[in-house]
Formats: sequence, C-alpha cells, structure tokens
Amino acid sequence: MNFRLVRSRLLSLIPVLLVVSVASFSLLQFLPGSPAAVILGTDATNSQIAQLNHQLGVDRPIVAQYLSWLSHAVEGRLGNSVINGQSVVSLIWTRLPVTLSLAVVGMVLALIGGVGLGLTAALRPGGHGDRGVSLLSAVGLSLPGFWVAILLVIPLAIWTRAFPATGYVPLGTNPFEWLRSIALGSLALSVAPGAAIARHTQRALVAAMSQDFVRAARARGLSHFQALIRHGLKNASIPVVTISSFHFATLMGGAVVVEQIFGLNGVGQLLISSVQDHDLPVVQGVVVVISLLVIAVNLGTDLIYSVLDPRVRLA
Amino acid sequence: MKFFQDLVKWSRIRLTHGVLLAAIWLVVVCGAALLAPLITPYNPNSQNLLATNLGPSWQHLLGTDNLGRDTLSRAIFAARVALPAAAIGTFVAVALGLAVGVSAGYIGGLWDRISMRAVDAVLALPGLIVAIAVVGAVGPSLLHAMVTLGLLASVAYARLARGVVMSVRHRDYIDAARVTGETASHVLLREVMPNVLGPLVVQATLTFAHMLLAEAALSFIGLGVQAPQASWGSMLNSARSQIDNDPFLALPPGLALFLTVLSVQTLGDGLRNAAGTAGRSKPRPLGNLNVLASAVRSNGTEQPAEEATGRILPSEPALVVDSLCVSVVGTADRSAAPDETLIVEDLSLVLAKGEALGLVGESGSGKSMTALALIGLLPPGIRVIAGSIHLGSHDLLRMSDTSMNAIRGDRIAMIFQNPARSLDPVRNIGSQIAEPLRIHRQLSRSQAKRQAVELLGRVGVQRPSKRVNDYPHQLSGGQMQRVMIAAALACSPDLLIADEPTTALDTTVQRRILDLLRELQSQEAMAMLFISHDLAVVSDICDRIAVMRAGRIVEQGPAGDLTDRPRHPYTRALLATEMSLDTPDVTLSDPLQTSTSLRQL
Repeated sequence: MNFRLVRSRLLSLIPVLLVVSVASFSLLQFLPGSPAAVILGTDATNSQIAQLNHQLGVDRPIVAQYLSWLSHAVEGRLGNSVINGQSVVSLIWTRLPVTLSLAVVGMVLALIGGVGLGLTAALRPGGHGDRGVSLLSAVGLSLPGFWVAILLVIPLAIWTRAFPATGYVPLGTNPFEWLRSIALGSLALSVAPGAAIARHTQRALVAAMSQDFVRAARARGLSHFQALIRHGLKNASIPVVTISSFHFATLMGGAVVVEQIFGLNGVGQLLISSVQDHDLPVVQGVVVVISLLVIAVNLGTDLIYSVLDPRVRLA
Repeated sequence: MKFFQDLVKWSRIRLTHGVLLAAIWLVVVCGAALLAPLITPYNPNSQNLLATNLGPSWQHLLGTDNLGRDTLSRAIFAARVALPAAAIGTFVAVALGLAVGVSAGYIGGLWDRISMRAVDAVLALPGLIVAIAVVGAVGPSLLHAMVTLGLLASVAYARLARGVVMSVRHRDYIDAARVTGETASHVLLREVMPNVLGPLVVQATLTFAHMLLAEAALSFIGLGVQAPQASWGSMLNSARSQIDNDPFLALPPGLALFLTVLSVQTLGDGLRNAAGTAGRSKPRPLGNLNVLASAVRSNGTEQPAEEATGRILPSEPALVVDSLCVSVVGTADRSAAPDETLIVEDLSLVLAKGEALGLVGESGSGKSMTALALIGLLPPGIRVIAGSIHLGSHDLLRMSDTSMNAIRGDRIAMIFQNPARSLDPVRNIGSQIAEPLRIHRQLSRSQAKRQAVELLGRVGVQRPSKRVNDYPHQLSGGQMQRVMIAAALACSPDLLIADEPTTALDTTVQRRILDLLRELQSQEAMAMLFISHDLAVVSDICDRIAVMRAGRIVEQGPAGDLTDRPRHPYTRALLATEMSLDTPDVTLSDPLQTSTSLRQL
C-alpha cells in the first residue's frame, strides 16, 4: 500500500474532523440553562450553580471551551454521563460490539445479495433476470428496515421460534448463537443497501461490458461469462465500493432503530435513552464515535480504490 | 419562457404501468390526507376499550389497535404527518443546497473552497443519528428533526447546483447578459435555473422518499410525533408491542409507508428516464451466429469476385468468405425485412496461408463490420443475414457460440484501432496476454506468464520481464499496441485481423508497428487481413488489396497492379486523394454518387 496515498488521505480528513467536532460540540450548547443547573436540579441556589459552572469551565469564552473539549476528545476523553457519572467512552465501548455486529453482518449480507443480484441481471441484459432484478431493487429501496424486521420476527421468532426474538449473545461466548441473535436484524438492515448495491452493480456491469476492452477480451476467446467475471466485475467494483461505503452510514442509523425491535442493548438504545434523559454528553459522545466510524470506513474505501484501480496508485 | 418550456419537457414522462400506478397511489394518499377529517369513519384518537385488537370487519375496515382505535382512520391521519414532514425536509434541503451551491459556483474563490469542504464533511455525518441527537438537545419535535435532516441532505443539491453553475458560468450568454447590465441574481435565475431544474427534480423525489422513511423511523423510536398522534412509524411501534397477539397491526401502516415511498421513487425513476440523464441503455445480447445458420444462403454458385480480376484461387486457402451479407436489424421489429439495411453486401474474399490481404475503404464502407462478422463479435442489432465464412475446415457461421469461443483467440485473432481502449485498465498487461494461453492451452498461471514475457520480447518491448506486471496506463500508445499484438499472437493463429492498427498512433510509431506486423506475419506464416483507409500503408504491407465501398468490394488484385493500374474509378479517387494531400477538395464520393446513404451509417 502506498504510503503517500495514505498520508494525503489522512491530511484531507482534517477539515472533515473539524466540522464533525464543531457540530458535536455545539450540541451541548443547546442545553436549556447551564449544565450545572441540570446537574444540581431545581433546588440549587444561584451561587451553587455559578460555582459548579466555574468548576466545569462553562463560564469561559465559547472558543476556549471548544478548544479544551477538543483537546480532551483527542485524548479519548468525552466526559461523563450526567445521569450516572460513568465515563461516556466506556458506556459506548461496552455497547459498540452489538451495533457493529448488526451493521457489519448487515453489510456483508447486502454485498453478497446485491452483487449476486447485479451479476444475475448482467448475465443477460434485457432478459428476465435483468427486469426481475430492476423490480426487486426498486422494492428493496422502498422497504423500511424496521418494518422488514417486524415482518421477519412474526413468522421466524414468534410463530416458529427459529430465531430468538430478543437478546444478544457476544461473539466470544458462542459464535453460532451470536449469529442467530443478530441474524434477523442484520437481514432486515441489509435490504435497502443490498437493493442499492444490486442496482449499481447492474448498471456498472452493463457500462463495463460495453467497453472496447471487453470486445478485445472476447476476441481472445473469453466467453461472455468469463469476460463478465474477469473484466466486467473488477471494473464495475469501483462504483459498487463507493455506494457500499456510502451506505455504511445509513446502516449505522438503521441499526439504532432495529436494536429497539430485538431488545439489543447497543449504541442505539444508549442514544435513545440518553436523549430521553437529556444526558447530552452521552448523546454527543455517540455522535462523535459513530461519525469517526463512518470516517474510518470512508478512509478504508479510499484505500480499497488503490487496490482495485491501478491508476489511483499514482495519485 | 425557457423555464416553462423545460417544465413541459419534463412532463413528457413515459407513462408506463408502474408510473401510472404510482401516480394514482400518490393522488389517493394526498387526497385522503387533505380530506382526512371528512372521510375517516372514526376519530383517529378516540379509544374504545370494548373493541380492542379487532380484525378487519365492515365496522372497522382495517380493524382496531390495542386501545380500540380505528386503524384505517389512524393510517389516513398519519399521512397528514408524513407528507408535510417529508415536504419540509425536502424544501430545506433544496433551498439551502441551491443557495450554497449557486453562490459557491458563482462567487468562487475562498467561499467556494470553504463551503465545498464543509459539504464533504457533512457527507461523513450519519444523518439519522445526528437528527436523533438534535432532538435530544432541543427537545422532542418532528419539525427540528426534519429541518436537521434537510440540512444534512442539502449537500447533494449544493454539489449539483455548483456543478451546473460552474459549467455555464463562462458561457457567452451569461457574459452577454452581464455586459447588458443585468443583475447577477437575475442572470442566475433566468439562465442557470433551467439547467439545474432537471436533475434537481429527480434528486428531490429521492430526498422526499428518504424523508418519509426518516420520519417513520423517528416516530417509531418515539422521537417524532408524540402520542396519541398517529404516524405510520408510531403505529408500527404500537404494532410491535402487540406482535404476539395481533400481528396484523403491523401490516396497514407498513404497507402505507412502503407503497408511498415506492410510488415516489417510481415517479423519480420515470422522470429520470424521461430526461435521459441516467437512463440505463439496454443493449441486446450479441447476435448468436448459430441462429443465422438457417438464414444462410445455400452455397452460392456465383463466381468469386477474385475471378473477375483475373487472379487464380490460392491453393491452400486459410479463409474463404462467400457472398457475406451483414445487416442492421431494425430495433422495432426483428422480423420485419424492410427494416433491414445492408452494411456489407455480397462480399467474397479468399486468403491463402501466409498471405496478407489489405481491405481498403473510407470510414463507413463496412470494413470493420466485415472484420467483426469474421470473428463473430458483431455488436447488438447487427447480424449476418447471408453468406458463409470458412476458416480452414471450420464453417464459422454454423458454429455455436461456445465453439466460436474456442476459435477466437486461438485460430483467429484480432487487434483493434485504439489500443488504449482495448486493454482493461485495471488488469496488468501480462495477465491479458496470458488469457488466450490460459483458455486455449490450459497453461498454469506461471507458465502463461513466462510465455507472456517471451511474447513481449518478440514484439519488441524492452525489459519484458519487468514490463509484464505494468498496467496499461504506464505504457505509451505504441507499446500498448505491441501488447495487443503479443496477445493476438499468443496461440499462433491461422488468421490475424488487424483493424486500423496504426490509425491512433503517431506517424513514427506507425512505421515501427507496421514493420513488426509484417515481420511477424512472414515468420508465423499466418494469413493477415489488414484493414485501413490508407491505400499507401496497405500497398506497402500487403500482397493483395481489396477496395471496399459502401458495403461492396469494388476491385481487388495484387498490390502492385492495383496501385499502378486501378480499374475502378473509386480506386483512382482513393489514389488521387493520397497523392494530393494538400487538396482535400478531391472528394471520394464525386465519381460515384450512388448509394452514399450507406455512408451515413
């Protein structure tokens, strides 16, 4: 892997991280009243509030507050919950595996299904498979993930009990039960990104297969199928990787909602309960961590480009 | 005025069944939402604890929920939440995005750089999670959530608008408008907006669908509308709590949401296709030569054109083409004969082993289609309708697609006009040279690669063992064509078709590639069909020449004879243009005005 490429991509992340940090920091400024008023409750006197505000440093100029918040965040400190005083980072850390399991398995399912369907469509452009996949992807893109989850739960977890309706088993405890506990949620989450991936794979393959180099490859004796696999797929993979990485953010958002249905105690439940409790440091921490994850996935995507497309390696 | 014309153009959407059904559903949903208080049979929030969890009946068409509320009435009232919420989100996205994008594109400079950096950064924010967080910070309110989502979605419009503004900014009519003293905003509104409008409408339908889903998701987790107000999302949430005893509750709100989103997306796709912005072309499969076997005319008794020029048939023919006809098939109706336009007509050729035949003609004369017909790779919509092609003992037009795969690259090889486009940019050249060896000779990867290195050396590429791992973009045009030749020669074919192999190259490189081809052709003793528009090049490299015009061979004979004593006026015209390059007035079509319509192909 090209060191210069990695460095230039990392440098280009700086403005992105700045915007994310400003957006996350300003969340705290929405607090009605001062943080101390919220922490101390309605019984506190004005002088008590002023004193705690001073301790918390929130009576300083806003830029100074932002800079000290940022320097803490860079060190991996995102403050404590105002409800139970636990460190925000550790609260998120314990729940992240649940949400990540849902999102990653959902992504894998979306990739397998989407690329498979896209390939099927491209085998015979204009054929039944092509039109069937176009229809399926249009339907898939319109299906709300949480509704699909409910529709899956009813026959597979309530009527037949083939899958558990609620609860999470860590991967380290029992890999099989882990998969069973997140299977329905991941499947529901994978529908929309899978449909998008299918649609883009189909289009990219059709575009790639009309290129001159495919005709040249066929002149060397490759069958349509061989040309599709050897030359179509790799050329089509670049837009497919782009759309997949874009959908990772959607998947994280969807995971937050789907966790509710399966009673999975992940980052989503933490976020929603913190919103209800008005526990803003936790809310802020979740936004920061999820944004960082999305940024990391985008960075990984940029590096995957350099593997897929030799022309990027020189950039 | 132009604005209005554009709107009319936009309305020219193709009314497929899908688009029609989608429009009907959306009219129904919007109408029901508008008239909800008049048409709903019950108050959506009135509970009746004596009639809970009823199934569908005449009293309650869609049953009742766990509090005895009428599901149909709630589902209709929910549309009054979903549609305005999605409209607000979409409006914020479009308005803000246009403002940022147009100003960034028009003003440029620092503002452009800053705003586009911000746009890139916002793309990294997970939309739904940020919306949830904002709700957490400012208190539960669907309005705040939708405005936040609109804000995040605006980046797509900012990019779109900026792109259009940048592209029209320096066009003459904008400058002209500015010179005449119009204000910037006036110019933007009148000249830029119509250009943005098309893609914008398509994008807005996507955003609207996305906003519908987001509103439902927020209401589902209790952060959108507040109880007891009905939303499709909140209805699904209460259905979830009843999942054990009344699974039917999950159906009506989910279906309403799904169908509405699907309809909006279908309309969007319809608009997109109407605009042809990203309409997917549907090429038909490559013509299967097998199908044509029945259409092939029984072996012609006519004398080959060869005889006419007083030439004896070669003793050992490598390739015999007899009365070949290639035709464009009308796309509307495949069977209708009148639609067919001949692009190669009654073409007969004989090529001996080791012989080089030049096929000369202006562009559109049918040379390339002849070549593609020989190798069985005619583009969709173009077919061989009569004639025969024999390569040695193989009757190519009677072969199945699978057996043609075994011939291509092994017995017939082809090199193309544009080497840069004929090489796969994401595979290294060694693997592409190795392909025919792997397929036809079943060589292992390492064996094939060793052969590829050897072949690269033979076609004159320096340091072949190093270059074999290079990618096409690391090579010059001449080197790329050498790579194409190496791949073509890998299996020592009986026939090499070279379709304008030097046209895309510099003159100095042309010479070297021609020398290489000539040298390899005599070494390998293979037949070569060399296609070019350049009579000088062809007469230099070929033993015989066939002159092609408007799909027919008008004259053929030994290279020297043909250039010294051309018989056909068209050959003389070709020679004349080449001798007087400074006087392009000598047009080729002058002596023969007939059937020039074929040139338009």
